[in-house]
Amino acid sequence: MTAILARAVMVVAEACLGDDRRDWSLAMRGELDAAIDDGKPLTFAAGCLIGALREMPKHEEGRFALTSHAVALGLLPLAALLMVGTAAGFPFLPTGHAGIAGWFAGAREHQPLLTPWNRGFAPALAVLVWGIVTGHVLMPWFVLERNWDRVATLARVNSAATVTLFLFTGVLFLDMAFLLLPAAVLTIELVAIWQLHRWQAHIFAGAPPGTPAA
Amino acid sequence: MAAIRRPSKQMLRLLGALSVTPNEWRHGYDIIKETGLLSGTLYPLLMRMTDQGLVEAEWREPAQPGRPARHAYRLTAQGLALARATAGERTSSGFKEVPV
Repeated sequence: MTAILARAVMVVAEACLGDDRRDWSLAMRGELDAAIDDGKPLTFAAGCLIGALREMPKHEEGRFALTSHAVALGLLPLAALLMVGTAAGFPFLPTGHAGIAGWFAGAREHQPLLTPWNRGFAPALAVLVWGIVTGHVLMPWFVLERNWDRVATLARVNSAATVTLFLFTGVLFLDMAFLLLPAAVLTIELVAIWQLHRWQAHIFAGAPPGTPAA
Repeated sequence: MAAIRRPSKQMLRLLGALSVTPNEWRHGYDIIKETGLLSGTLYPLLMRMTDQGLVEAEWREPAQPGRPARHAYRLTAQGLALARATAGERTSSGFKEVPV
């Protein structure tokens, strides 16, 4: 059992070292049997993993992997912000809140965002807002998978949904200030994933055809 | 070839272990057992020392069938020169070279 766990840890360590240090990954793996014979496979494998993690910032592929995870983790709070905002009545749900602007202003008397005249649009707007939130929650996952086709599709869907929200807001004569948050989230997300995509293209520019973009 | 900084305590220990029998190729796990260094310290050190031209590495066929090939290491001439130059530091740091 310990040996199986150690082998699993070694796989992670090898992935952390990347292609630049492939020889060293194999070298560490080659010693694992000796560690198993010695009865200390997990200590050896854990050490290799720590060493590999420490090496990550020293090579570009490792820096890219670390940055991808940082961006993905950074996108999650943005999605969470939208979720909390939506749950608190942002921006169109008829819960009687004054929205983000009222929240910032500390308004005591909350004004409903939707009037009896346009309240019928609430379900459609709610679905749209939750669709945007879902898109932002899925984005970090696709970024970590480096599935750029899915990232691009999701970015288009998120952009289209945000533009639709913008149009609805205009048509219903609602306060456009409420769009600042989803627009800011979308902008940050698009800039971050575009920069990551360009960086990955740069790293693997010289790779032979068929090389997996690890 | 990367620049060589002042050797760390761990590097001195590795230099000491490898310089006892400089012509002998040594496997990573044997070095771990001999020096007491952890794998997380030894491998980054070996990578850096190989980049600096202090250590050379080569693949060795496995002793038992079905096992993977193993990396073996020994000091280069430059590494051996550094080991000799830092012999005094190793002694003062309390590291004793144990002949194998």
